[in-house]
Amino acid sequence: MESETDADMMGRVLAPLGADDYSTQISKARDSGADAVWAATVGADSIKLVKQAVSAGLTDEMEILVGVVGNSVGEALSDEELGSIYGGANFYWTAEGSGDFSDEFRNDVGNPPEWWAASAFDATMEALTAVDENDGSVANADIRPYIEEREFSWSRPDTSWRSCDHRAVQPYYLLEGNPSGSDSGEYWSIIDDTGGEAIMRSCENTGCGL
Amino acid sequence: MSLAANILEGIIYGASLGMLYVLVALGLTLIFGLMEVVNFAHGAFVTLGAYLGISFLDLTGNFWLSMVLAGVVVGVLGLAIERTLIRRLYGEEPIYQLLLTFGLALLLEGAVILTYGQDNQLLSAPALLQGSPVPVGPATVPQYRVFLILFTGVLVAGIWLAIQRTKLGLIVKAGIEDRERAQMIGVRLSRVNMLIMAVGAGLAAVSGFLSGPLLGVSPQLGTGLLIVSFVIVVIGGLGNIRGTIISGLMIGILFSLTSFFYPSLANPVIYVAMAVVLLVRPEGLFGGVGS
Repeated sequence: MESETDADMMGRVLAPLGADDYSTQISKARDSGADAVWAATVGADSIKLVKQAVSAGLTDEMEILVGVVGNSVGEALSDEELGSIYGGANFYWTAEGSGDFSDEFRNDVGNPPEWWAASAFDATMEALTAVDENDGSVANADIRPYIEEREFSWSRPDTSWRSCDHRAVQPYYLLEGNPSGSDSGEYWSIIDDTGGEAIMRSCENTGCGL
Repeated sequence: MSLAANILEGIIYGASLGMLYVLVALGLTLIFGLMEVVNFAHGAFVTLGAYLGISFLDLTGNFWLSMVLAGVVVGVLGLAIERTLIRRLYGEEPIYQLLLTFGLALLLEGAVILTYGQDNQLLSAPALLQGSPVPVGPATVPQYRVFLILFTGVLVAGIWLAIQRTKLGLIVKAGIEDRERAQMIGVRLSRVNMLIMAVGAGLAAVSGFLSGPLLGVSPQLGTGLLIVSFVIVVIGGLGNIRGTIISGLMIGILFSLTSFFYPSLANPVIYVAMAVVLLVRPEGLFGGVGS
């Protein structure tokens, strides 16, 4: 990571899954002298971490980016908390190319889709399409060649299946908390996008070769 | 920051979390001590308190009033549950109480999800406590954490004094010590049961509401706090009020310090501590009911 980003990793600190208290992680981040913290937390853990980091004043000293966020995290944060952090996601409903899916979802459900809804939709549509194109066969062996290297754009653009491990290659959006967007459901603003295979661990690296 | 400052911060942060656990665990241990009921619905009171508090906050715009209202409403609900459901099972096999309170927990959590949805809710500390962290010796501590320690400390001290120094407290202690003998000498425990159930549920609700600015509010809020509170009650001694307070603080600080030095052990260490206490002193560090 350091070699690919020109960044120096100042340290790494673990937190138990579902932890209630992040004070020691916050102290260690403060002591590290880093300019930014990447938080590899999800859901309720991210909410607790951000609330505690902001109240401890950590965001006055360094930037915090939570690796995976969505509206469910944004709506549980105050304006001050939301305006103090960055986030990331492989789907955000306002992204270019996600409009049709997001509109349909909003019409049916009443609120914007989260990344997991988009992923579930992509996976379902891909599985159904593969079965359909294989004359109704659901055998793994029949579906497998169909999805390898296939490109698709059900809920977001630039998405494909990687053949060596059958993982989805997806965009990754860099988001900034948007305190003024709570009424419109736009808790995050997209400030950049990256993604693709460049940000994934290679199959040589993971040792996976299907 | 020096190691001493880190340790001090860990202790203070752990104490603030521990005091939230104490509020939940106190209700649990009082209800068990007096009524011999292991109340699995206690976590639902925590969750309900947080959500009702948010609703009251929307209505009144006042954090403190909302906290009181949430505590009172959930306390009355606890009282009603004791009168209509739990009292029918006094003296019955523990499995019936377990089934009833577990069912109530599912029902109340389901009602919260139906009413408020699955998503996390926003609950922030009052503006008064949102300022810069305050220095405490070499450490710096968010104002809300300091408030939590002081406020819950006063609340717990008040309950402790009420139990130690009032006639009603004497009756509660007598009921915990020996329920049958207390009734034989004319103590009407049924009224005390109602009161303790209401106080326990109210404390759980206050704890849930106060947890919100620190932990966020989700339908699973109470479940998480309840599990740790059971550990605290077991370590402190079932029905032992002093033991519950001390072990609550110990667990909060133990978690916080372990999280600093060995993060991956922070969760397991709580349960290891409970296992060790059960092996060495099965009645709890401070003794069980009546100690």
